[in-house]
Amino acid sequence: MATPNKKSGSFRKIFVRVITGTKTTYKRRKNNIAKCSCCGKGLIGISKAFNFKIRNTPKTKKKASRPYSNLCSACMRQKIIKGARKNA
Amino acid sequence: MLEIGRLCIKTAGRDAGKKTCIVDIIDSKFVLIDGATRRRKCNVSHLEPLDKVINIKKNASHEEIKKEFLLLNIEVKDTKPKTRTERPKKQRKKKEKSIEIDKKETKKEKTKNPKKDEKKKVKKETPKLEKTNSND
Repeated sequence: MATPNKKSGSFRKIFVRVITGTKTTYKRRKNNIAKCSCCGKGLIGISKAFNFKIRNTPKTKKKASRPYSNLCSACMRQKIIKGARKNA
Repeated sequence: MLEIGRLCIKTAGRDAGKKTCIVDIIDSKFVLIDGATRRRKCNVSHLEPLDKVINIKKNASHEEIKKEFLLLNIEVKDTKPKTRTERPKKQRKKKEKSIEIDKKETKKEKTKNPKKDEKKKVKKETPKLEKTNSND
């Protein structure tokens, strides 16, 4: 039987073939890809590693260096151009 | 539209959203920019021109542009130029060698048998007995 903490959805089941039959092992799921909050496109260059690994990753791999890092480059460009044209 | 002194906003890269002005026109595609951004070559498609034009000469220095920007109440942050640091040279490990020599000496001392030395000393002290002929 699996321990109660492994029954939650955060773990994924892996079935391994053994001589006696199949054996179930458990592994943590990876994080989802970071997405643009405007268009929903996946952001490039941001790691989707496990939480415990992300703690030790550098800041440059966790976010883009440009402004509005929650947006993709195309949406960011649109937003900046809109703002510039409004003020002008 | 794009001329020397034209104020623009950069729309790409890490300097996106910052205000710059055109310092020099290189090609039909590229211009030299300076201001709140870094002084660098830039694609025309990565710039959004504004309605203002500053009075500067071609290839004006960063300080001249900075003065003009301050009159327009635009902040310009200067970054410190990086100084090159020399690579650390590898030095021979002198201390370890001395330790090795000591180790060798200790090994030699260890290999010497104290019993054998004692025997040798005893032999040297005792005079050699003269050979006696059995026939006599």
